[in-house]
Formats: sequence, C-alpha cells, structure tokens
Amino acid sequence: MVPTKYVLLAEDDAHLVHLLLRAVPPLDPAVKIDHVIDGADALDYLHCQGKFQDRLPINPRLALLDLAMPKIDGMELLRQIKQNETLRTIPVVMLTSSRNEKDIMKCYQAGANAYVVKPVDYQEFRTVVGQLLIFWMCMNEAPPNFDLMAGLDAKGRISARR
Amino acid sequence: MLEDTATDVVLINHELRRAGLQFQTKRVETKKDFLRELEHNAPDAILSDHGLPAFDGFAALAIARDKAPDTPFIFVTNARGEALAIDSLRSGATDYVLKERLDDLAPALERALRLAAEKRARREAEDKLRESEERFRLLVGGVKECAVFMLDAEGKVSSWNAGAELIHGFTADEVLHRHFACLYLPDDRKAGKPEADLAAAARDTQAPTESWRVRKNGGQFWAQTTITALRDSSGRLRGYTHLTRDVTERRQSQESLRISEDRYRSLVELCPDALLVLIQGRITFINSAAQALFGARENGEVIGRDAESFVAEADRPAFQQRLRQLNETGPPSTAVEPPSFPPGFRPTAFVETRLIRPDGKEIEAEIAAARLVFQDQPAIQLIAHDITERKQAEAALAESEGRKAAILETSLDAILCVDQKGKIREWNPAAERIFGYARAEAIDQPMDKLVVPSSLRERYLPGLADYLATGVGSLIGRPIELTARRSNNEEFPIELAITRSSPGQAPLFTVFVRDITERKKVEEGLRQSEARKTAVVESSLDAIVSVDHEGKIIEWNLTAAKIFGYSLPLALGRDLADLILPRSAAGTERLEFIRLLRANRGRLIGRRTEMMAIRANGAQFPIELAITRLSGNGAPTFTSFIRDITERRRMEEALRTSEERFRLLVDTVEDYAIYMLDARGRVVTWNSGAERIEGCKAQDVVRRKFSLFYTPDEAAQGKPDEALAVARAEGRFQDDRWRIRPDGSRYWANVVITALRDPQKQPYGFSVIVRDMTKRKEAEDEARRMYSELEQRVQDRTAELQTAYDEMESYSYSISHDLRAPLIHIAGFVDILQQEAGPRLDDKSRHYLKTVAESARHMGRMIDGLLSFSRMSRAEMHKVRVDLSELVKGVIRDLRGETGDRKVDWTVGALPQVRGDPSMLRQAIFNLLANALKYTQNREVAKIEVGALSAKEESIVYFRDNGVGFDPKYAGKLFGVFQRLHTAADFDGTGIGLANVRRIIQRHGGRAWAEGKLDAGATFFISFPEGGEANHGPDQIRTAGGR
Repeated sequence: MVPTKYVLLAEDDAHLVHLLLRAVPPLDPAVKIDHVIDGADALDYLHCQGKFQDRLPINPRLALLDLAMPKIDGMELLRQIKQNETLRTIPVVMLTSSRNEKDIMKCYQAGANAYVVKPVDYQEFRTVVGQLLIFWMCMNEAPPNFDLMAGLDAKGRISARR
Repeated sequence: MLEDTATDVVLINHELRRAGLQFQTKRVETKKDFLRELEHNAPDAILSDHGLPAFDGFAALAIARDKAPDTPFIFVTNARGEALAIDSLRSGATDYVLKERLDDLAPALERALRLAAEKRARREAEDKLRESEERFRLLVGGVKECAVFMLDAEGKVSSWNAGAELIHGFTADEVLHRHFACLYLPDDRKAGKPEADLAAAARDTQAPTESWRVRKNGGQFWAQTTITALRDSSGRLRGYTHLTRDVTERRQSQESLRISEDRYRSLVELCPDALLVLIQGRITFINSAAQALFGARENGEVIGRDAESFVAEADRPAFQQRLRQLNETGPPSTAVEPPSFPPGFRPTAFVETRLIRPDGKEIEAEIAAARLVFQDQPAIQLIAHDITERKQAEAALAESEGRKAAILETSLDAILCVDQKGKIREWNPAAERIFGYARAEAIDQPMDKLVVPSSLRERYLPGLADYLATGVGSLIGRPIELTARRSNNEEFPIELAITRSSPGQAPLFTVFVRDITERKKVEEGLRQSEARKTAVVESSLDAIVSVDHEGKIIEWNLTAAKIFGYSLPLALGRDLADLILPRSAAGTERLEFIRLLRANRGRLIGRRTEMMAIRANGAQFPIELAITRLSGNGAPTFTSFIRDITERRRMEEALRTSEERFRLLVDTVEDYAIYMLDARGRVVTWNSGAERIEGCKAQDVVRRKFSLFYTPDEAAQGKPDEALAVARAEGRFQDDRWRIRPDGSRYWANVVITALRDPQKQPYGFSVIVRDMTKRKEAEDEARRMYSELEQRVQDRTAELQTAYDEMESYSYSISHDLRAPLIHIAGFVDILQQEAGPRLDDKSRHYLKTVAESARHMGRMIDGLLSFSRMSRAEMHKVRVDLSELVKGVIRDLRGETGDRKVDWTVGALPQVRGDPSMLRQAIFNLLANALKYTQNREVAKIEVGALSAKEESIVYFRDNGVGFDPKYAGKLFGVFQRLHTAADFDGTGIGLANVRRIIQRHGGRAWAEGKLDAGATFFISFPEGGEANHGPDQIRTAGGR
C-alpha cells in the first residue's frame, strides 16, 4: 500500500520512538511516520532540503514534536512552522514531559494544535497518540475533490493558497 | 373924578380904599375930557368939585344929567354953604360931601350907587312890564287854542279872548262880569271848587289844575287851567289871569301816556340800572338806581345839573361827542327800547366812563346813551352801571391774575389746578419741567393718570376722589410726601400740598408739587452720613465724649456709657472732669483738663495721655485719652476719645511676666543654643546652651554678626545672609551642617532660624536655635550604614534564594523530563515484552514483568505528584473570591466518575466564600475528597461530609468521612511529603496529596490539620484567615514564571 499520510515525529528519545512506532501502524496502515531526531533535521525535512531534498514535497499530515530537543528545540520548531506560509497548515502536537502550565500556554500561543504530556503508562500513551493521530488526520483530510498536484507551487510544494 | 387938586385926589382915593371899596378912578379937569369920559367910559359914579379952573361943577352936573342921568353925581368940595348944597341937590346931584369930612364920602358913594342901581332896575322893570303887558295882550288876543281871560279879585271875568270863546263857546258879552264859576261843572260849583281854586292861586302864585269845565252847549271837556294871581307892587290882589286849554284829547292820550309812563316809570324805577334822562344835557330825571349810583340822598342833588358835570374831566370830551352824535342823528328813538332787535339795529354800546359823584367820589360806570322823547321833549336817556366795583374787582382780579400768573410762571414748584373730577386745569412751567409734559399735553388730562405712578393709584386715588367730592380729606393743608411719575416713567419723590381755591359751585383745587428728589438725596445723604457718624460713634470701641467750652458733656456714646457706667441721660450736662476723674487724682490732671477748656490749649490736646479714671461704681481704672478741639460757629467744643486700657495694662503686665519667664527658661537651657539676632543679623542675646554648644561666651559674641558661626568659605558664599533671607521670606530656615567652633572642633548642628515679627508683621529680628546633633548624626550615619548593609544582605539573601529557586526550577524540570523519559521506556518496553514474549513466559516471569510495569507506573505517579507539589509551592496565585461550595460541588461531580457503583452519601453544608486561587483550592479539595473516597472504599455506604465551622478570626471547613481513619498518635506525620500512614498495599497513593493540601492552604494564610480515630473515620480541617489577605512569607520571592 502506498503511504499517503505522512506524520513527522521529532523526538530525540530513540526508545520512545521505537515505542511510538510500534503503537501507530495498526491504527492506520496508510500512515507513515517519518522520524527525525532533532529540530534541525525536522526543518530540513519540512523544507525538503539537506538530507531530505529528494523527499516528495508534501506536507506531513501531522507533526509530533518533542519540546526538548537538541539543536532546535520543539518550541522554536513550532514557531517556525507556524510562521511559515507553507508549513503553518500542518497540525502540530507537542509532546512533552512537562506539565508546566506556562510551557503549555506558550505552546498554544505559538500555535500548537495540541499538547500531550507523555504519560508513563504505556497503554495510556498509546491511546492518546492513537487518538490524536486519528483526530488530526481526519481534521486535515483534504476534501474529496482536491487535486494534489493542482495545489503545488513553483517548487512543487503544496501551496497554502487555494 | 372931576378935580384939579392932586392932593385931594389922593386923599379921596385913600379914603375910598380905607372904606374897602373896590374902585378905579379916572381924573379929569376939562370939559372936553369929561365929555369924552362920559361917552366912552361910562362911569358908575361921578365925583366932582365945585370950582374948577376950566370947568364948573354945576355945568358938569347938567351935562351928566343929560348924558347919564342915572349915574350918581356927588359933589366933593371945600365950598361950604347950605345954599350951595341945596342948589346942588335941586340941580340933580345925588349927594354933597365936604372935603374936610371925607369919611362921609364912602357911605355917600355907596348910597348913591345903590340908589342908581335901584332906579335902573325899576326902570328896567317898568320897561319889562310894559313889554310884557304888550306881549301878553298880543298873545292873549291872538291865542285861539287857549282860553285866556282875566278875573277880577272877586273872580268875575274881566276879559275874554278868542280862544276862550272857541273853547267855552261863550262870547265875551255873555260871560263878562259873570263869576267864572259858571265855567265849572255844577257839582264842582256846589263843592266850591272855583273859590278854592282862586284861593289856591292867591296863595301859591300859580295853580295849574286839571279839571272838567263846561261849554255853553252844556258839553264837558277836560281842561288844563292855570290861574295866576295878579298883585300890584304892594302885594294887593288885583285879579287873576286864567288859562284854559281843552285837553280832552290830550287827556286821553295823556291817560294812556300816563299809564304807559307809569309803566315806564315803574320799569324805570325797578330797573336796577341807573337811568337818567337828559334834556339839553341837563339831568331831568333819574331813577332810584341812578340816585344810588350817584350816592345822592335826594335827587335834587343831581336833577337839574348838567350831566357833564358828573363826568370826569378826562372822559368829558368823549361823552360830549357821544351826546352830540345822538342829537344829530335822525329822529329820536322810542322812549323804551324794544326787547328784540330788528335787523340792522345795533344795540347801544356801553362805554366806560368815569363819573364823579356829588360827594366827590369817583366811580367807574358803563354808560349807554339813546335818544328818546321825554315829557314831549327830545331827550337822551342814559343807562349806567356802576362798574366801579366790577372795575375794582377786575383790577384786583387782573392784579391777582397777574400775581398768580407771575407766581405760576416763576414758581419753582409745580402748581396745578384740578377740578372736582381730577382733571388738570392749570399747569405752570415748573410743572412742565418737573413732570415733562407740556402745558398743552397736560390740560384736561386726569391728574392721576398723568403723574401718579400706577403702583400708587390704588392708595392715592380714593383719598383724592373723596376730597374732590366732599372737600373733606386728609390731603388738605398739610404737605405730604408721595411718589410721582414723570413723562419718561421715572418715579421720583415729591412733596405735595392741596388747597381748595374757589369755594362755591365748582371747586378748584390747587396742587403744589415740589420735586424733592434732590432734597431726598441730600436728606438721604445726610441721613446716611449721620447714620454713619452715629454708627461710628456708637460702635466705636472707644468712648467718644464731647464737651462744650464749659466742660459740660454734650455727646456721650454707648461705649462711654459702658465704660463709665453712666447712661446717656445721666451724663449729659454733667461736668466731664467731675464725672470721670477720681477725686483723689493728681490735681494736675484736673487742672490740665480745665485749663484746656478755658484756654483751648494744653498738654492734652492732640496727644494720647494715660491717666486714671473712675467708674460710676467707684472703681478706678486706667484710661488712654486723646482730645481734639472742634471749632465751629460759636464756642468751640472738644471731643475726647477715651479707651479703657485696663485689659491692655493687664496684658502688658502678663507679657512682661511672660518675657521674664521666657528669659529664665532660655537662659537655663543647656542643651540648646537659643539666641536672638537683630534685624541685621547681629547677636543680641546668648544663653548658656549657646555657650556650651558653640563654645563662646556671651561677651565674645554679642553685637557680632551672625556670620561668625560660619566658616570663611561659607561666609564668602553668602550662606549666612542666605539663611537670614530665607527666614525672612518664608518665616523659617532650617539647616543641618557642620559647624566649627572657635577652638576648631566640629560639631553637627541643626540650626533653625525663625524670623520674628511684631504684630504689624514687620520683622524685628531672628531667633536662632542650634542643636548639637553630632551624636545623633553619628547614630544616624550608623543606622544608615546598617540599613544599607541590611538591605544588601537582604538583597544577597534574595539573590541566593532566587538562585536556589531557579535551581529548583530546573531541578524540577529535570525531574519532570529527564526522570520520566526512562520511566516511559521502562513502562513501554515492558509492555511490549509482555505482549510479545508474554505468552511464552511462565507465570512467575509474567508476574515479575507486571511488577516492573507497576513500579514504573508508580514511580511515574510519584514524580507527577512531586512535580505538582513543587509547582504548587511556586505557582503564582491568582486571588479571587472563591465560592467553596461551588468548588466542592464541582470536585464531587468530577469524582462521581471514580465512584462507579459505590454508594456514596455526599453531604455538603453552607461553605464560606474565601479569597484564594481557585485552581489551587480545587486541587486541595480534590485531594481531600479523593482521600475521603479512597479511605471509605471498604464501607458499605461511604458517608462524606463537608461543612463549615466558624471561629473567631478564621473560617474553617471540614471534610469528614466514615472511613478507616488513622491513629491520632501519628497525626503530625499526615501532611508530610511522601508520608503515609497506610501501606501501599492497603491504599494506593503517593503520599503527596495531603502535603499538597497543607502547602496550598498555607499559601492561603490558613492551616490544615486532621482529627481521626482508628477505624472511626477522619476529619480534615482547613482554615482561612478572616479578611482574606495574609502574609505569604516566601511568596515575596519572585517565581520563575513571573520573571
């Protein structure tokens, strides 16, 4: 099956990634989770540059960002995404260990669509992530007659403008 | 006079003059002269000598007898001899006088003249008689209308004329020698009328009668008869003449005439006007009114006189002319003027003429003249009105009018006349001026509408109307003040007086109006000035007393009465010195006072003097006195201004004492330098404190300048003057500075300079208070130092704390993030392991895996609990009013999900509102209720109750459950972090919940504690302070979030 739904996961914790990756596919086989380990790679991925210059210039359906990441952390990443004309339509869910209200507020103010505190309980975690995925994938699903190629800009990227 | 001797002539002249004769003599000597004189200048008498040289007396006599037989001729001669005298007389001389007896001459002459006159008269009379007899005869003979006949003395007819024949019808022969009684009626004859008539005629010379006579044919006729008695020269009756006229017709007309004349006469008599009839200018008839006019007692005084004679000289020509005109123009008018005038007829004009009465009084009369026939003669009738009075009245009136006009014209007061209806009849120039209406505008206007202000008409009019109607009223005679109105509607005060000016049918009222605006202003001004003066005098705080030149009180104001205790009536007229100076007073004052009055000079005038005075009650008290002299008309008066200075003296004394005390005070103060400067900044006083502080003695500093206390530099900069200037300007100058003592030592001085002012606000100096503040300054400096040290320490401490806090922040973050990550791994991979390898493992292994997973989960929860606890400690509180009931209900709702199908009996009472952070409080309540739920899980029915208790200064809320409770021994450990009184096996939990609760409640300024029994439930209490805000202690330290 050709993966048509991409999800960007920016998480430096490899183990957690492993856990996540195991949690997701059973939910929706069309979902492909692309994983980057830090903010810089995330940006490259999103901008289809650097090591990802050959990537298909399609915006991921969802971005799961960890707050604490080396190089460029989740918050900064979030801001950049949301300030970018092309990228801002990507729903962003922040993953974090911190329940600090201030952080939560800041994330939301920066434009995060959702915020998840990583629960220790794995089951819980899986449920949450699954729910999120389903939710935001649906939310972001294009209307039936939307022609992917028609909305591409000069560089072949999906243009935010319709 | 025929005389040759001159001396004789003189003698004769003299003699005649002596006798009083009026005469003129002409002397002749010759015949020729004599003749000439006789012819040309017929003398009245001739005096002749006998022998003249050229002439002879007898010859002269002969000539005189021939030429002037009637002229008396008297011989005045020397020649004696009787024969000569007889000859003379026989020759026809009238008399003979001897020269030596000249005093015979005058009588002789007189006699002669008299005789001559008699003779002349007799001759004339004889001639006249002859003439008249002749005339008579002719007359009688010819007259046919009249019967004229003669009667002899017995009454027999002696002559008969043609007229008699005609009238009586008898011829002469038939009647001659018959008694004339035959002419009478038989009845008259029987009555003896003829004889009576004759007798009457004999008695009175003429007896005109009218009676019946008979004719021959027996007819009767009315005859006018006049019988005149004829007497000879001796008076003997010789006969009668008898005139008869047949006036039968005449009688009839006469009768009617008489009647008419009677009528006329009565009219004339009744006529109030004076009526006069003039015939030929002579007054023939006057009526009684005329008699009265002339003031004649009987009309004889007037009748017969020329009318002219009664006319005043000046008017006579006009009068005469008028009469003449009347006489000349046409036939005489009728005797009585017709009452209505035919057209063209002009009534007679009355001309004013001045008449002079018989008694000499002059009267003015109005005279009209008309021609008439009066008693068959053309006459002039005059009608006269005595207009003297009228003229006088007119003159008086004119004069009065003139005076009145003069008064009206020149009066400064408005003079109006109003009639009974109040309409203006008179309006003088002053009225025009005062009221502003011209005469023409004002006349006939109702006075009230014109000059009375509408506001006053109500009050004024009834009185006026009454007065005008009845003549009685309050307005009369006395001047009253009213308000009037000018033509421009300006209202102004007037003085008004009304008098009735003409009694009678149509009264007129004269209104005198004076515009007293000016006077009122002056009066007002005067009144105000007087009032002001009185107010000044009366309200003056000084006694104002005036005395006359004898020292007697003439003015005494209220304050004087108050001060001295004598009321005005008691004081007036008294001697001022006697009244107010104590008897015992030094004679000087009294003398001075009296001297002042006598000599108008003295020490007291114009100056204020203090002396002792005495009140009415005998109390002596000090006064201050000033006297001024007022010289007006007449004797001077003195006004004194007296002030009771008892109080002042007392105050002066008090001040003196106070100053004394102050001086003592100041002098003894040692801690403060208190000294005074004069207005120029020189030291005046010095106290012991100053000595000590400044280190100088009084004598060193007094009179020296203030700058002495400043360093030379400071003095150069002008600091001392600046200080004084500020003190002067703002009242006070304060400064803290180092001061150098003369010995060089320094001290920290607190200087206060105060400007001193007298009651008139004039500065007269400065007070300087200096405090040695050195020690205090040092103490202050020390304190400041300590304070800043303290602050520094606090800052350091805070910084430390801040650092610690920040560390803790990152620490807790580390925990939250870093610690959890591996936990997640553990939990996750164990899960995977369980899923993948689980089926392949044995129970024990699976159990081990489960344990690992649970432990990881537990650890996760603990970490979360810790994090939240620490966060709770640091989080900012957002304080609002929180309704605990709501919060509790909300938590219960949330917990319902966890109760499942357990039976839980929730009871929530009324809970207070508190001020706090809602989310934190919610957390605390959640923890408490969750605990309650947890520890009642073994009960069949969990009873959880939440309620409030009130205590003083706290609001307490309790959470009671019927759970397992706890051993009260360990109550203190309940709220510790990670402290649990139950094992994890019994009750799951982190052990953080209560610690959180306590921390939260502590942050709200309250307390948390618990009560419980083993297996008998527990009650947890939380309290909030009353009033809300509480000390949060470490909350003062800023949180990380707030940075």
